[in-house]
Amino acid sequence: MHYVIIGNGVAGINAANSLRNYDNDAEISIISYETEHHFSRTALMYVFCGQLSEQCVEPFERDHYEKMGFKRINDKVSTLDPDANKLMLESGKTVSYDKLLIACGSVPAMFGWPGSELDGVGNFVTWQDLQWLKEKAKTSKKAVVVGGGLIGIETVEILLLAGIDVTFLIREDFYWPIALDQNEGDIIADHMRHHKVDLRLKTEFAEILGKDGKVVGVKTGDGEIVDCDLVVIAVGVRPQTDWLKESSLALDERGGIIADENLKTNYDNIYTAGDCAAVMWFNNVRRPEQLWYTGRDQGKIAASNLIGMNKIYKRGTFYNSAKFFDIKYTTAGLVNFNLDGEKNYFSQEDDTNYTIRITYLPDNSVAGFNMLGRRWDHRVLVNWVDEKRQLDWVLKHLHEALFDEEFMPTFKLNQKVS
Amino acid sequence: MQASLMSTYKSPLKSKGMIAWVLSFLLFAFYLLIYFTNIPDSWAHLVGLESKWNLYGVLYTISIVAGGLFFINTHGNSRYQKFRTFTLIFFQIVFAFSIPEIMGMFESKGFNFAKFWPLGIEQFSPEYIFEYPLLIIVYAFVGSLIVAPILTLLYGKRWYCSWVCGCGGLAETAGDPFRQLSSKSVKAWKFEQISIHTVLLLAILSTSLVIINWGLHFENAAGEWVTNHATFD
Ligand SMILES: Cc1cc2nc3c(=O)[nH]c(=O)nc-3n(C[C@H](O)[C@H](O)[C@H](O)COP(=O)(O)OP(=O)(O)OC[C@H]3O[C@@H](n4cnc5c(N)ncnc54)[C@H](O)[C@@H]3O)c2cc1C
Repeated sequence: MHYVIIGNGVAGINAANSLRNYDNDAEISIISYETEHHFSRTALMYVFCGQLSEQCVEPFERDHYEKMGFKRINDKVSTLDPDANKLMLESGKTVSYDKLLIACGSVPAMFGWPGSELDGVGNFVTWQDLQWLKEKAKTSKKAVVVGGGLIGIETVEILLLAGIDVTFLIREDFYWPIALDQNEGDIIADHMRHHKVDLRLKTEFAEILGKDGKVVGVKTGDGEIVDCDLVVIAVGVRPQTDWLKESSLALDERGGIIADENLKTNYDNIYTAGDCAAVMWFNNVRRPEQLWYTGRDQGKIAASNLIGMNKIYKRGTFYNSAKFFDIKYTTAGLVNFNLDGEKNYFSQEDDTNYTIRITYLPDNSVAGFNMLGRRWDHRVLVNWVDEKRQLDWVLKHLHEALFDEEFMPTFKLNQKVS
Repeated sequence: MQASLMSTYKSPLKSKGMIAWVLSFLLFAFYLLIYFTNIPDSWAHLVGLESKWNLYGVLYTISIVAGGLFFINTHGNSRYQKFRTFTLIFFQIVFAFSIPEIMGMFESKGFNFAKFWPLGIEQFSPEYIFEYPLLIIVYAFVGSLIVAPILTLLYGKRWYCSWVCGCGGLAETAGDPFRQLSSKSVKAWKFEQISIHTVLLLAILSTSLVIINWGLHFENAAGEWVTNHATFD
């Protein structure tokens, strides 16, 4: 049996490890063009800053592939022929498989702005992007980052640390409206300005200006020109599936590979996992889950099903955590989903960035948490959502979910708005 | 992200550059001189100290204080790290350095109250500990056999290694900028697991021998050598 996995990301490598656990003798090949070793994409910023070495962000030792008996193919797949069970590689080679897992991740979304091809315009998603940005940061004086999401703010932070002035263009009224509300977004905006970010909210990005093939500035929707020598675009990612468009593999309208509850595609011997897999969400919307831990879980489930088990990918209650410069962020359950009759409880501790937002339903059961500043244990928060705990009860027990390091100032509820 | 942690891997001092090699060579040479010759005694006299070991104590304390301030400058946005580092500095200055020195001024043998068996392996050597007053003898035994294990059960080994101990203290302060150089391989981890238990076993074994030896009044040359040299700090 020859299993082929396209992708050496968190989904691909976890699938490979699981396959090996189930089957000691199977032939397992991993195809990737990005890096020879699996690395932690989430830690790219720390490598950029030199706080971690490149090898520090490889979760497995270098001999992992030999030890596990994985064959590595450093190449890019250019076409898939699902009826012949065959892959064509860019080098001209072909690879045949018995069963295939496609875990090819995302590419940065680009909307064809004029000037996108100029030298000095790029993204911060891949290993190659990391090398590119490191090189550019050596000489850059002034950068523009476009797109108010997580990758955007991380890029702003590291460019500032590298001593580069940064203008941050965000189209929306406040920072990251998919996850935050106006009040939370304002706290993050103040914090960024405190760190000397030239933050421009409600600012469309229209065009990149160049001279002799190099970036010299960007033009905003209002026609204002911001001078710069570096532009990083971080307006989101989309499934890396352009190479599949011609094949008969079923994709959704945004390019996600349509996956059933077993993570199977429209072909019985082809599965998908990670950022490229469009899975059904609780609210019957089909879209990819672009998260590290869901990629890991999907990889493992897909592997079980490739072996012939019948495991269902059922994602539990949503949770995530991040950091906006120095402000920690924890979320669990459903906030910003506009649930029927939802209300929000909000509290902010005096003179701090420590906020709590609890979304609850008309029956007073809690549906979600959005927490800034302090660290919270998402396992506890997720349990409360699953158990449909009452708001009053949750407020009384909130300290049980605190995950702060010792000696943090004592936690106090301080309700501001209801 | 902490600005001061930037470029750890780009700094020649912190990533095996030339300057790092020179510094390690000097440190190595210093340790060779201090352990195997009496040359550092004359340096001690130059600055008005009695012996090379006093000089070593002063330098050690300066390293912890300076390294600790540097550490707080780097990680001080965390109250935990701030409290922890000040505590480490306090234990080094007061317990490891000053109290033994002051005891010396009163003509008694110095005692480090922040050290317990088996790190202070001499504390279970009858010939050593019985020279102290009863209170200190009780302190050493209760501290090593009851208090330290209980605190470790409650808080993990960090209560000692990163809050009190002088060895951990140096590693956590002056050693901190070089932390990333440790090997993270599975091999290194396995070696650590085996070696710490081997060292504990050796400590128990040698302490038992010393006690048996003392019990038997077995005063041959080897026995004396063990009692005099069995220190692991
Ligand atoms: C800067 C940054 C920060 C992030 N921070 C977080 C975070 O804090 N928390 C979080 O949950 N998520 C975070 N994410 C998202 C997270 O990293 C992704 O969801 C996750 O890495 C997706 O894993 P994957 O295995 O699906 O795909 P990827 O890691 O993208 O791997 C795709 C693999 O497929 C290979 N591949 C693709 N196409 C082909 C082809 N045609 N031929 C051959 N090989 C191919 C590539 O070489 C690569 O090995 C972050 C992402 C970025 C960029």
